Amino acid sequence: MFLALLKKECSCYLRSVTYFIYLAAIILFYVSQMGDFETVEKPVPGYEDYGFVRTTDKELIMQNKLQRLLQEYVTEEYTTYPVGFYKAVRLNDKEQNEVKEILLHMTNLGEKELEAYCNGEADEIKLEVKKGLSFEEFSSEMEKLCGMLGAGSQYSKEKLEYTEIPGTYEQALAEYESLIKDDKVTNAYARLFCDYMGILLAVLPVFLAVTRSLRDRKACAQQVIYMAKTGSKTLVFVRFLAAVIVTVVPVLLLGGMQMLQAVYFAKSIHAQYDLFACVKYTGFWLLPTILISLSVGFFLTELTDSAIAVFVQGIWWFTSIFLSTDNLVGSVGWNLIPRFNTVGEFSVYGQMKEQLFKNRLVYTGIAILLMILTVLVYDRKRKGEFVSAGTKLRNRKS
Amino acid sequence: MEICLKDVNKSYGPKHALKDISLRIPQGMFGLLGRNGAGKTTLMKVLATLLQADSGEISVCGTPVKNTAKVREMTGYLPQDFSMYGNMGAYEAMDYLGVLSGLTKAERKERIPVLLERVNLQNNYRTKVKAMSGGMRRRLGIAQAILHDPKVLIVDEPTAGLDPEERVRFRNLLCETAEERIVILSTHIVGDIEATCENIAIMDAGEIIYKGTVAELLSFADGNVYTADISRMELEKVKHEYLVTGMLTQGNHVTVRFLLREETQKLFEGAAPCEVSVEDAYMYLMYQKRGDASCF
Repeated sequence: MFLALLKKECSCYLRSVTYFIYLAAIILFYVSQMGDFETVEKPVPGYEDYGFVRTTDKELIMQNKLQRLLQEYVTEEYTTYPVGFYKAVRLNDKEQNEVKEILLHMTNLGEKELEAYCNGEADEIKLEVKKGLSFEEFSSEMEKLCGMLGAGSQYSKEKLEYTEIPGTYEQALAEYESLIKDDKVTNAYARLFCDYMGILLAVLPVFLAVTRSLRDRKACAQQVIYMAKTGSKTLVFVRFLAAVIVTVVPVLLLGGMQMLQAVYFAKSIHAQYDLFACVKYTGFWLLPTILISLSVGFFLTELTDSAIAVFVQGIWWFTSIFLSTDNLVGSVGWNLIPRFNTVGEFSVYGQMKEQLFKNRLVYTGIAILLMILTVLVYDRKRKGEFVSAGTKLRNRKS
Repeated sequence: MEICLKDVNKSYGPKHALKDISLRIPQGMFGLLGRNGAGKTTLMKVLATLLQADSGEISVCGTPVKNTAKVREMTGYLPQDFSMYGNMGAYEAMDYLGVLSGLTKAERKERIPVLLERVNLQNNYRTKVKAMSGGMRRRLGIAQAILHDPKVLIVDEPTAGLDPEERVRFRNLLCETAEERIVILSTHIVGDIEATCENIAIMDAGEIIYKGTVAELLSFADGNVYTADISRMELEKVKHEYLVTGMLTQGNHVTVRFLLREETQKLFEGAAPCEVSVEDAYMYLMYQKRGDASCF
C-alpha cells in the first residue's frame, strides 16, 4: 500500500503545473549560472596576477581594515549592507571626530598629517598599524565604530576574521594541487553546484508543498480523503517523501551533468575523481534545504489552509540570501543557504566544514519536527478537532 | 446492524447545531429531511467522524464513533460538494481512493470496473473529473463511497442541482446500494425521501422533530389536505386562511392544494379532501411543531 500510494503521490506532483514551473526554473538557473563549464588552469610562473588569497594574519587584517577606514573617513562616506542592500552612511561631526581619534590612536598617523591628507594637501599617505596594538584592542574599537555605522558595516566581528591579499605563484600552485589531491576535482565542482542550487532550493519547493496541501480542498476532495482508512502519519509522510523525491531527482540529474564534465576534466589532467561527489554533496548540503522548504510549506498550509508559507519562506529566503552577500565563499553560520561560490579553496571549506555539518543537522531536525507537527495538525483536522484560521476566515466571509 | 445516537449535542460557538439528538438508524434507506441550516450536514459529519460531538453517545454497528479508524473502515461518505482532482480520470480517481482505502491492487482491479459499470460510468474511464457533469460526479462519488464495501453509506444532499433524469437515476442507485447496508440520505428535497426511504427523521433548528416511517408521517396529516378550484379573486383569501402547498393557474381559475391550520377549521364550498403526499405531511408537521407559516 505504501509503495502504491507513494507512486500515486509522485504522479500527482509530476502532473502539476507547479512542478513544471519548478523544473523550468532550476533548468534555466543551471544553464545560466553553470552552463559553461570552467576548467581550472595550472598556474605558470612569471605572471603578475595570481588572484587573491585569504589570510587570517591579524596584522594584515588590522592593516587592511584601518586602510579602508582611512579612505572612508576622508570621503566621509561609509559603505554598509544592513539587509543586504548597499547603504552609504554619513556620520555627524562628533562621530567623524571619533573616527579620527580611532585612526590617530591605532595608526602611526599624526593629526596634522591626517588633516593635510584630508584637505588634499598631501597626495599620498603611508598608514601603518601602531606598534604594540593588540588585536583585542583593535576589535574593541571596531565594535564602537560599528555602533556608529549600524548593521552590515565592513568592521563587524565576522569581517575581522580574515582579509584578502594578493596571492603568489606558490600559493596559486598549492591551491591548484589541493583541488586535485584534496578535492579530487569533482568535490570542488560539487560544492559550486550546491552553492548555486541551494539558492533556488531554499524557496522553490515551498510552492510544491503549498499547492499539494491546498489541492484537496480546492478539488473538494478533502472530506473524502479525510474519511479514508490510511492514517494521517502515513498520508502526510508519503506526500512529504514524494515531494522530496520529485524535488531531488532533477537536482541530481543536473548535478550529474556537472559531474560528467568535472570527471572529463579530471581525466584530461590525469587527476583522481569522485564519481559520487554530486550525490554526496546533494545529500548532506542540499537535502536539508529542500526538507526545510517543503516542511515549512506543508506545516503552515495545513495549519492555516492558506498559502502563507510562500510568504514566510520567501522572507526567510530573502534574508538568508542577503545575509551572505558579503561573503560568498565559506559563509555558513546558521544561515539556511550556505555559500561557497568558487571552485577549490579546500582550506576554506575545511574551516567551515564543522559548522556546515552542525547547520545541516539542525535544519534537518527542524524539518522533521515541522513534519511531526504537520501530522498532528492534519490528524486533528481529520477528526474535526481543529479548524484552521484560513477556514474560519472563509466561513466568516461566506 | 444499526446506528445509535443518544443525547448528541454539537455547538459552533454560540450556535447550537445539534440539540439532544437521539436516534436509531436501522439497515436500509434512512432519510434525514430538513430545511437548509437544520443541522443535517453537521449530523452527517459527526456520523462520518469528520466532526466530534460535544456530548452524547454514538455507535456505528456496535463500534463507538470515537474509534475513528474502525468507523471509517466500515463507512462510506459522499459529501455535499464531492469532487476529485480535475486532471484525474474516473478510473484513476477511484484507483487513488482505493489505495487510500487500503485495497490491494487485485481488489482494485476487480472492484473498480464493476462499480463504474454499476454507476453507468463504464464508458468514462478516462473522462477527466473536471470534464464531468454534476450527475456524473455524483455517480462517481457514490462509486468511491462504496469502493471499500462499507456497512454504512452516508450521502449528504446528493441530488441538489441534478436534472430530473439524473435525480431518478441516482435515487435508484441509492436504493440498490441499500440492499445490504445502512444508507443515510440527507436532503431538503422531499421528493427524494418519498421515492426512496421507509424510515425517516425530520430535523429543524438542530432538533429531531419527527422520527418514524413515511406512512406514519402521512397519517399525521391525514384528513387535513384538500384541493379546490377557485377564482383568482379568491386566491388571496384562501392563502390567508389556509396553508396553501400548491396552485395551478388556468385562465381565471386556480386549482389550489391546501392544509387546514387546525382540524376544526371550517371549509369553504367546493373543497374536497385529497390523498396526502410526503410534502404535505412535512409542511403540516413543520407548521404544527413550529407554528411557522412563513414557508407557505
